[in-house]
Formats: sequence, structure tokens, C-alpha cells
Amino acid sequence: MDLFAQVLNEHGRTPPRLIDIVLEFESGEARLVASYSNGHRASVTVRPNDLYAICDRYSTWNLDRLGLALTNLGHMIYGQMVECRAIPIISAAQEPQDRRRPRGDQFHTTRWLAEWWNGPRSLRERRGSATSGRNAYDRGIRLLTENLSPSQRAQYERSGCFDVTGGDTGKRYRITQAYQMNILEFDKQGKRLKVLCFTPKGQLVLGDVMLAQKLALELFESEALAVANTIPARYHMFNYIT
Amino acid sequence: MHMGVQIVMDRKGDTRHEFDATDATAIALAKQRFEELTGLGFRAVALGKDGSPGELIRAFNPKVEQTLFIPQLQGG
Repeated sequence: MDLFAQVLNEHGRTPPRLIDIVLEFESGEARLVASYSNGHRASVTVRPNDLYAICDRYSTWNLDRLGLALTNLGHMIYGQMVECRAIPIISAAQEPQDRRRPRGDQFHTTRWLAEWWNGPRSLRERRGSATSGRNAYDRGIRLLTENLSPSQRAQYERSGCFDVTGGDTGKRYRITQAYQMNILEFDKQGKRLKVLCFTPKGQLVLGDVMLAQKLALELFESEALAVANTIPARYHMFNYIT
Repeated sequence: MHMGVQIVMDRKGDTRHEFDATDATAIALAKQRFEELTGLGFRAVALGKDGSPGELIRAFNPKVEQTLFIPQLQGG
């Protein structure tokens, strides 16, 4: 949470957008580095067993997919923190000790990740890849914001999420800044009912995913709901959000 | 000259195909692209002005200024 708390403290009223989270290895130490739209960067050290837990949780064992998972998770947490200006109830420090204890060959996995990172790819290649990824991300966000209504855009700029009215049912949904499990459905009283998860196929950037979700709910809601997976809102990991 | 643009969501953000909506050849190519993409499961949306929802379109219309192609949806 330190990745986000500092930025929120410094830019409370106008928090910058989280761009991405990458894993960097330096002097044998792994660090999570978060980049924001205002150029701010924040980093924290990540321990091998925490890194392994993330790989294990998302079943992802290469750096590209791990980066995607971290960014996805980061967007979700940051978006919700911005929305409610609160620190999550469940923090890493509160996780059961058993879950954080080293297991099996996790240190080998971490070493493998470090070797992969320090492998033959040149610095230029890494920079090129990062720039390309950033450009794609920016294009996606631009396309999204160009196609938000004025009220949705204001809400998105303020809190990283926006509300959508279902075209078929008139229900209210909230799309938060994440790739999946990021759509909240509200009942008529404004209470959170469930979390929906549907995404467009293909490895799209964040802005495209959110825009596809918005247009699907507004224009072909029934079709989107037919493929969506749902969980009751009370089971959502960010259950503290009002 | 009246320009139309077809915007296809992809991993680069999007790819844009502009065409002259007064040129019969350009229109034919745009129509072919429309049919290929919708045949692959993409949804075509005529984007609205100033963020209004726009309209889901099922047949190619050269008068639409901006058509956004959204890949098929799947449960997450």
C-alpha cells in the first residue's frame, strides 16, 4: 500500500492516474515500481516469498504476465483507494503467516525471474518495449476518455472509475480501473449488489477494456450479462468500499 | 471529401483505418473490413458525439464517421 499511500497523501484532491507497476531487480533485490501520469514514481522492496505468493495466486510464471498481473492488481487497489480515500482493511501485514511462509521452490522461482531479467536482452530493448507499452496504454486511455460523457469523464478524472447505466435494464454499474472483476452492480437503493467480470477477447490495454465494458453495458447489456461471471459483492476483495 | 474512420481495438491500443466516404473503391474496402471483423465476432459501434453511447451497427454504413470495433466478449 506504500506504493499508493504516499501519492494519495501528496495529491489528495487530484491524484494522478496509475500508469503501470513493474518489477525491477537491483543489487539482488526485487522492487515494485509504480509509475503515475504526473511522472511520479514510487517503489517498495518485495520479498521473495511475497513475490512467489503473487506468482502462485495468479498462476503466472514469466515476467510479462507477472507485470500484467501486478498492474492489474495495482489498478484495482489504487482505484478503490482513490474512490474512498481509505487504506484497505486487508493489508499484506495482516495476511495469515502460513500464507507468507516460504514454500517449496519459491526461491528458485525468484532466482529464475532474476536471471530472466538480467539475461541477454539489451537495455535498449527493455526501454523500447517499455515505451511501446506506455504508448499503447496512453492510446487506450485517450480513446476511453474521448468516449466518456462529460459526467463520466469528470468522475473518472476524480476517482479512476465511472458509472454506466445499462441500456436494457436501466441498472447502474460502476466500472473501476482494472482489467477484470472491476464492474460493480448497484441495486435501486444504491447498495452494491454484485461484481461482474467480462472482458473483450485479446490482450487489450486498460483503456480499451474499460471502454468495451462501458459500450457493452450501454448498447448490448443482455449479451454482456450472458457471458459475465458474477460474485456477490460481499465476497469481493474490496468489500470495504461503500 | 468526407472521411470515415474504422477504429479496431488491439494490443497496441487501437489501429485506425481512414477512408474517403466519397470514393467507391475506398468504401468497398471499408465494407470488406467491416464484414471481416464482424464475421470474426467483433461488435461494431458507431461512436456518438461527446461520449454519448452511440449505436450498435450490424451493417456497414459509409455515412458513419467513426466506427469502433470491439472484440468478442468473454467471461473473466
